[in-house]
Amino acid sequence: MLKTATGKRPWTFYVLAAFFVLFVLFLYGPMSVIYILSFQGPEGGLTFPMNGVSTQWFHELVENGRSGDIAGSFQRSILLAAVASVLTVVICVAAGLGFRRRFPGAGIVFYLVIASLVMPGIFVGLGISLGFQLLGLETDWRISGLGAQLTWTLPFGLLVMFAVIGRFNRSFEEAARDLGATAWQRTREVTLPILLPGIIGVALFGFTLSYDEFARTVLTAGSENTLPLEIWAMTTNVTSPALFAVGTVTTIISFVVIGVSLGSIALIQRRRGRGAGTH
Amino acid sequence: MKLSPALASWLQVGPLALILIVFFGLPMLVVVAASFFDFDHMAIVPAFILDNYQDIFTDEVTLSLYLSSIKFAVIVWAITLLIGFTVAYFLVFHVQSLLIKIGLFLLCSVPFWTSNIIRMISWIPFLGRNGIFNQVLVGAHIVPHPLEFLLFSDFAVVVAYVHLFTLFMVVPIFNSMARIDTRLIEAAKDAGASRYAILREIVLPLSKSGIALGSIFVVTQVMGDFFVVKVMSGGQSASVVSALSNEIQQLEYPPAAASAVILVIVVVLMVAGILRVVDVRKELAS
Amino acid sequence: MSATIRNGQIEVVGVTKTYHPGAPPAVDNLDLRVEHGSYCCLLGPSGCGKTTILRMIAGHEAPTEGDILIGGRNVTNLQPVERGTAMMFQSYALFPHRSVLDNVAFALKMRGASKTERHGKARELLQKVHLEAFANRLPAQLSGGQQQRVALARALITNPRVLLLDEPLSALDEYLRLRMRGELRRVQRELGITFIHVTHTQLEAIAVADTVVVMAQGKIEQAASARDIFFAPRNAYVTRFIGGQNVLSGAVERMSAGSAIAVTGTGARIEIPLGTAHVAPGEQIFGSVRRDRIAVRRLDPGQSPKDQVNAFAGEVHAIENQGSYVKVTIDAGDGEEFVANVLDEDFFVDPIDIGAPVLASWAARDVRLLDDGRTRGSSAVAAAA
Repeated sequence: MLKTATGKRPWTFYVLAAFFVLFVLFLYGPMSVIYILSFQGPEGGLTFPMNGVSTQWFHELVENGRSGDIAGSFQRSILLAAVASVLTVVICVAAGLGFRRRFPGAGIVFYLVIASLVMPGIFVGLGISLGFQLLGLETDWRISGLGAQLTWTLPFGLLVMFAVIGRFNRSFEEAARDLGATAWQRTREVTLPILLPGIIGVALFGFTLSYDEFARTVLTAGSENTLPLEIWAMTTNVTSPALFAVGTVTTIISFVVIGVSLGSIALIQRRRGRGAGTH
Repeated sequence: MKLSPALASWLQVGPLALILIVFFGLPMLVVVAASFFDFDHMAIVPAFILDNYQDIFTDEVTLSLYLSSIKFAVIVWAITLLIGFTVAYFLVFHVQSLLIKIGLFLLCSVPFWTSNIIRMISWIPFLGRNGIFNQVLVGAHIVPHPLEFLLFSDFAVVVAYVHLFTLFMVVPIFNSMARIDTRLIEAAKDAGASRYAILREIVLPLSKSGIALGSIFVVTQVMGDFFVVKVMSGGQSASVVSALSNEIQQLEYPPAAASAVILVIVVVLMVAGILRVVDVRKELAS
Repeated sequence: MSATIRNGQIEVVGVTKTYHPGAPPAVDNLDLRVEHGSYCCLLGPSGCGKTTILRMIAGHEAPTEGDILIGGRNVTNLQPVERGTAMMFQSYALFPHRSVLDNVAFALKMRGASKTERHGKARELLQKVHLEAFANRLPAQLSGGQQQRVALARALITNPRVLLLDEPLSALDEYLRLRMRGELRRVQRELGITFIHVTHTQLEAIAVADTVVVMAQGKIEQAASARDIFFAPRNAYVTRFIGGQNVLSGAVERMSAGSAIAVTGTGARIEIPLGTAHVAPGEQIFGSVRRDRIAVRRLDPGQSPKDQVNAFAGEVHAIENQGSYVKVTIDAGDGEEFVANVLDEDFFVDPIDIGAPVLASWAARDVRLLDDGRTRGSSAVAAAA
């Protein structure tokens, strides 16, 4: 919209575009270095130059022992992320719908959500692990770890729901009611399907935020590590490009999950017409 | 079965509230309580003493830690604001096609959804003495020998912070800017405003809540970080939370808890300061 | 046809709706009766309460006080689906994630009808609105006019006895709007059910309705046939809102053979036939005069019409070509808009320009007494034409 009448772009466009390109390079550059280095040759070190090309470091991940418990922590992370994702969707969709009405206590819950979002993760972890200690319980990635991660994913999920529901036209639900749908039928047949792109977004947030979560998990995972914790341990112990191989693999997983989610959302939006669900 | 509206909402919001109370609200209370506890080498002893707080206030290291943390927070805030604003401005006002706009926006956001730790350590082979950056600089004869300060220094810490948190600035500012009615811009152009004047008079004021929201995110993230500063400075610099994490590792929970409480108060004051300047409530109610 | 249709007579009895205690009511102690099988339009500016009434009849809002009866039965506490009504929403509210066919069949699906049964009936209805070829498309792929017909079909599949339309034509562009008016009228006549149509466009209401209900601030100003609303408005508000007549007002000077002669604020004299009404000298009375019965002549300098009754001098303020007539707005100096609709052939004999001094005159028989300042009539009861 800042084009001149002749349709030519102002000179600032080129400057800003160049800045943007630099920014993208800044974001992706270092990560690309890791991807490349993960194919480091068997004799190679942690930096350039590349000493041949091999997939040896990837093999080392799978063979247990030398590079820590990659396979185990990977399994735990995926499982935890899947559970966190499902729980986040169910809890945040319900809560998002509940917040549409004004109810006593809405303000308190909202501030609780925001507080949970901005609180440094390590404090949450500290509180949970101390609490467990005082109760005589052992921290465990399935309980305290999950709970800690939820304090991070739930606020994000709720904010996404707010954004999506804010644009949702209530006349769809009224029309359904007018045509004879009960409250449950309305939710199942109209509200949830129309909100589906947003719900996929919440699931995506839930999965990736849990999968990559570190600060909250570090004190609450108990004796068995999740993948980020394992990587953290590797940064101090392991001095081989196996670390980079882990980075590459975990990033690929993230990209796949993101790609599938965004792809589904795009597909749905295209079929329903852009702006469908809004008016 | 017809539920009253309030009851229906409680049932729907209930699980969320329950989980946050159990795993956030109560733990925070535990931390506050623990900050008053005593401890010996083996265990913590429930008590009510102010020693932990006293120690913090009388320790001269405390002030330097806070100064260090706040220094990083301010520098990172300024840089991310500059970059975030510019990127958002470019995407909203200079990119015409909506499809490309969203595509580029996703391009920037996707790295955010990969592991923080991986992204942080990816700077090490990049900035190290034998890293790519130095190799390029030396190879192109820009500098005679590799720059040492690039890695394991305050510079590296700031770079890593900016890398990790700029997106927190881009998203809210992008949101605010995208909501500006394009007809306002056109009316200003009609009245003869230069692009710079449009930026100053229209875009900047209307992006204030996005800027504030982004600032809050960035500041709280930096103030609350414990591992970036440790790794990227090679142990030379410290922040309040990194010192705190050391205490935790040594099982000195009560002092760590007291330190946490004080830090939260400081951060809340910083956030309140930002909110006094701009009201973000309507931004959140989007 | 009437024997198989359930009674769609609607009665609104003493209904009030307040959203916030202490705030002025959206609907204020309103009474209305709509006869079965008639086409009724609720007309008024935004905020007058017309949509609120519609939604209360539908069951999407509950009245704070009062009752609603449909077909003689009190439905105030019934759910929308139990009332035998169906609503067409302003934005159509077609489910974007379902095909046109599934949209139309939705109500039957909610009742548990089998797929073959409900798809069969849905196709029948789509045929009626000439959209059977679009059965498998998604709403986003249809034009505005087509979406509206799908919304209509969807509402009609349950054989409602009352159809409630919330500004059904406002989302369409002008050309389609004019065409669809006729469609709605035709469908209503064919089905023989009651239609209640909310709009803020005067001419639209007059074009389609048997009964027009003019509302303002939660109350009914007048409910009458379209013809009566246009040519026999009851008070100044309805007169100004509908726009077919001008409002005249003045203080009574004297009587003259069944009429009152009043003096306006600018000194002109108007004659208002009184019928059975009585007025006192000095009283402020209001009258309306048809805009298409005004003669407009160029005023020569020196001519003074002060002694003429039913005439005044003024300056032409605006001229608007309306096709078969020209709308001439004359400024009489008292702030009231005075418009003359001059026939095309009359105007172009000697076209007048903006700013020209003119004399406007009319016959007393085209003037009617308005209710303003007099005791208000009884509650508005609408009768089918």
